[in-house]
Amino acid sequence: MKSLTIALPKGRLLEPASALFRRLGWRCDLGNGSRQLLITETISDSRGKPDSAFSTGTMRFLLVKPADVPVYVEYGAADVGIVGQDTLWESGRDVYEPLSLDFGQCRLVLAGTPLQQDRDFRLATGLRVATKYPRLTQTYFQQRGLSAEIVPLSGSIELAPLVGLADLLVDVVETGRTLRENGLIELEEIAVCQATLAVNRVAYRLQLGEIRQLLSNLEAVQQGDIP
Amino acid sequence: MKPDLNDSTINPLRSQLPRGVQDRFLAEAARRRAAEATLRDCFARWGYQEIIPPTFEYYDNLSVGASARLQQAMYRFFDPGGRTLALRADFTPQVARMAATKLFDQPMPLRCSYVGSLFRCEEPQAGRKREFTQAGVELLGADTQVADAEVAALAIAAMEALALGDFQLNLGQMAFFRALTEGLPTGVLPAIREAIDHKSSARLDAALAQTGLTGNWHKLLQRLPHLVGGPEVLDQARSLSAGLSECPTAQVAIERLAAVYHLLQAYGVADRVILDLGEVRGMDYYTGITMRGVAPGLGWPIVSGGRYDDLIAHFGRPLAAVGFGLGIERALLVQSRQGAPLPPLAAHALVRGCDHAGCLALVQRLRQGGCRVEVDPLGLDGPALAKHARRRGIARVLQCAGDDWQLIDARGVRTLTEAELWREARTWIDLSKGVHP
Repeated sequence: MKSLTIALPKGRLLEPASALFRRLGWRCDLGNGSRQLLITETISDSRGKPDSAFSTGTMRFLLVKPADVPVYVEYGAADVGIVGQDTLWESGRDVYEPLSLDFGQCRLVLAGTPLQQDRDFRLATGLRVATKYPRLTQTYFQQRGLSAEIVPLSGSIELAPLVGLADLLVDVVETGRTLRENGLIELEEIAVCQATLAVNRVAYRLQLGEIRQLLSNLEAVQQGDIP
Repeated sequence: MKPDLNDSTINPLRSQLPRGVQDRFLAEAARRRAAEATLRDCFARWGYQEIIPPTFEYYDNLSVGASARLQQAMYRFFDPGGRTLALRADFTPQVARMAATKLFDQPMPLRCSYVGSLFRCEEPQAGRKREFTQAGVELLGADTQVADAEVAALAIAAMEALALGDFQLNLGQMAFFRALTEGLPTGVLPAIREAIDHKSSARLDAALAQTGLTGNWHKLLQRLPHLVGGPEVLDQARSLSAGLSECPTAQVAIERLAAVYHLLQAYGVADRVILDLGEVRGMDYYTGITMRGVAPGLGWPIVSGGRYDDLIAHFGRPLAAVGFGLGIERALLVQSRQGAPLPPLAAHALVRGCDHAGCLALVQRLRQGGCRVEVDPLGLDGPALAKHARRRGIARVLQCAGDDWQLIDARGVRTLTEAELWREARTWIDLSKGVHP
């Protein structure tokens, strides 16, 4: 009997993440207006699919805030989680990342008003950067020997340079439309991110069979081997 | 309503502790001491003798072999002469210093064990505060597979003795990774190690692309994070490294791990072992096999150790060594999640305070006989004494009644002669050990 606890992120990654499990034969009906945060699903017959497709057993799906997925996985409250690499790296949580998932592509960029375009930040003093990613931003500026004051915000980052809260911003962009509509331009690309499977370091050992199976099935789904 | 954060009746400084330290009392203190005793006993049975290193010493000695991260986490301060001292953050450098400077002419091998606090100024996580307790062993002066296997088997025995349930020991081989990455440009090595450590194939592919490696060597490194499992891992690694004539040390490393695994089968503990050639994490000083003990319900390893043959040479004399440390608080966390019973704390009997000479003499004899006996100092009597005993979790009240003794317990009130009382008392000790007479 296979059993795994899987943390799924609310928000933009939830639909593609649960679609992945639906293709493995699970209902995974989360976020359909229900407020239930823990869904236990058991499949005892394999519905004609081979057992190796991870379509029997018990799965516990946890619905959590994206930034909390790495926490659930690091503590082992979830064996596995799906999370954007931007969120995972920002959290600094120590988990395995054995499989990149082919959705949630985005880029972490440094942006600002067009006035900032040719500015030499090394000479700038009192530089302020607004971001939802204080840790990654700090690292990025430190590595370049730049000193900047990080202004941590939790949303509407694009507003900060427009009202003088900050000179620059660091945020993820998918299409760049929000930047453009606010008259901002991308200055530098910091990282390219996508969704990834995060696995708890201890669960990887103690439930090696289940996790291997899940990995290979997810890989097969992504490569189109499982319809 | 806004909580009153300025309640003047509470002096916050009086009740506060610095972040990362903790008081331990009652059952929790008893449980920790019991675990320490269990481990001391376990290590002693394998011939390990305890050493007691100082809690602080010169930073320069404590930081030998420590990763940059651990060095940053050390609490440092100065002695009056201006030399930098530090609280110990790891026992192994202390053992290495002792071995190289004091114990080097003892007949080898030397088996040492230790139990004590370590101090790391890190973010507290489950079961690890900034002060935490570690128990461990080091086997010095034996660079053999027999020594490797002994320490791994002892790690399993220690987790078994603590009743940690379905735990596993993860066995890696740092020498294999070192053999495979020897000669690669040092610039790209941290990225390779980091990718393997996170079992991230995508990042590993990107890092390997920078090395210009091709063929079997490239393929083997690419497979490394996934060489995890039972003895079949050894065969996979053998066949993958068979084509690596330029890297004979890799084969030697695999055969060493295979020999250790074979010995662990002979110990009868191989079902507890997971082989993981992608385990490249841990102290920078490991040179051979590495081990990590994991148990269900805790996201971090409980046991961590390995072979470190180069470390002791930093203190002046080269000496082979292998050992492990076990985080006691983490083990206790696993125990309590599994609902392990608390060690008995309450006295076997509460005796009414009494100035009758024979009464205290009997109390003394009961204590010598192994009973835990409390004498009430508050002058309580009758129902008040019985209620007090109940609240304290003490199952029996005893008071003198002329030459005889009155015993009040779950069976009611009985008057017993001294001989009868002795017979009773023997059953208390058996009962508290969980043995029914």
